[in-house]
Amino acid sequence: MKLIDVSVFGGSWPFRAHARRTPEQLKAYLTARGVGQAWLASASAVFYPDPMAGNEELFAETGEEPFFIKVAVIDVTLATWERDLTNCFERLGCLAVKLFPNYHGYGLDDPRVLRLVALCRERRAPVCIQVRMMDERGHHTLMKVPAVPVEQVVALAQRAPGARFLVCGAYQGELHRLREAGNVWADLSFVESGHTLRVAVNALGAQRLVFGSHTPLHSFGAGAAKLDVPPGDVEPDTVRRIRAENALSLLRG
Amino acid sequence: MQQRSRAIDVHTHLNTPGPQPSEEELERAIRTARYYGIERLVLLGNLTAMGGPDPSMADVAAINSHTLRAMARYPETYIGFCYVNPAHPVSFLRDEIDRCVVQGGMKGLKLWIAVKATDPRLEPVMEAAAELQIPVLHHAWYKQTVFIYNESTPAEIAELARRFPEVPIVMAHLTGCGARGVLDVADRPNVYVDTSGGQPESGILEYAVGQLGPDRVLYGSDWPLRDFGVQIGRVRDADLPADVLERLLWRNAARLLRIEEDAP
Repeated sequence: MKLIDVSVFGGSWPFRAHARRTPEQLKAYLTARGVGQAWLASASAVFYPDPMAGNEELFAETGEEPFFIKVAVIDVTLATWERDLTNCFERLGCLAVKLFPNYHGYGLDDPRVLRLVALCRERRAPVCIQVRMMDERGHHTLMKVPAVPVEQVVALAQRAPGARFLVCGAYQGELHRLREAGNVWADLSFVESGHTLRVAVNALGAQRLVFGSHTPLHSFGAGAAKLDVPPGDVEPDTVRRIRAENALSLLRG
Repeated sequence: MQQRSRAIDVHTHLNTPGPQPSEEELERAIRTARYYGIERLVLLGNLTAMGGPDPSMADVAAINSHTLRAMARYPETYIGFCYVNPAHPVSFLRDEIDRCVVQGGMKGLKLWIAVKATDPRLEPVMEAAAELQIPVLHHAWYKQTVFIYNESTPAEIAELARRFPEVPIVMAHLTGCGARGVLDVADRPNVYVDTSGGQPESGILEYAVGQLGPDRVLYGSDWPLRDFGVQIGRVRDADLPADVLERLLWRNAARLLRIEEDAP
């Protein structure tokens, strides 16, 4: 089975130069690296005053290309967020939602988040929480954005046991704290230590890790190397799950 | 699976304390490195588990003895660097460098965060490096948070390089230094940059090669804090010509460390 990459961005990220690819170019780039499906969200939507502009411009370009799983960026502090969510599902064809609580200025204990989770659950859509976009040490001097505490994700997930959550951008040391909530998956995009995959599996378990590259902000080759482990380091069946099967379970429920 | 072109990793550590290196840790590091095509490992010392940010003379001696034993156990893999704390008496610094480099065969000096790169107490250390014609690998980072002790910035490394232009200096942690750090040292031809550490941000490697040229960037991992595969994966997947990658992965370090370039 081909790789499923749950953390890919289109649009632009303002803090440094990065590759900007059309959806066609992005598909070709990822396909050449063994990816069969990519969960795509708009990085521009993080900073646009209305993230729907980011969702709209990105998914107008992707069209109905089945290679991409469209992930809607929603800001629950906007008056129209419920309408935005409906539009993303029904008009843009999104299958998942991504939240940036630290960039949009709210906590996961906000009642609107629980409402959003309920609406996503009705549509069987996973809710992705991007806990960080960059190593905090390298933030812009005028814009230091603390990571979303993973404990907030656990608390939210425990209040919504029927929903499915994906944590994107957690560090290795944060994975074990996610164990407490059985409905939380985590991507590997910021996870690293010696023997990354073995340590990550020990921390969170083989069923709840998924592959995410954080393309184009991280090197895809670096991310893919986390699944390319020496013989005996991690069971091949576990690698297979993390390559694609877990992401399918997360998406389909 | 990555293309397994051979590599020298200029930035590794051990993490198990004790008078003897852990045989299990050495064997595991070598086995993992070999899987990714990494043939030689520059061992900078077991700094965190055996000394901390401001190690005593006894700590430094123990760390370097630990490195020497790893070199003796696996001479075909490990290349040692002598760890020094410039705050120590000059007589101790000279004796330790003599013990490790002249007598022990280490091929460079390692400076971490005990003192800043601009501290005048670095002078005898740099003079020894100049006399022995060996490189100095120095920690560096530009940070907005999580500062640790006397960390040096790339600008401070550039100043050190200006004062000692005859000493090759490897500025560690390319991603941590960032574009600003690369520019700090761009006009200091005796400064090299290693690719170790930090998240594997895309583009910074190509940027460094563009600013510094293909001969001043070296592959390093910061193992075991980081993953050999991830850190070399970012290099092998960089948008750079094959001959440039070969320099980053092997030839630049081989030249700096005086390793036979044509060795298999």
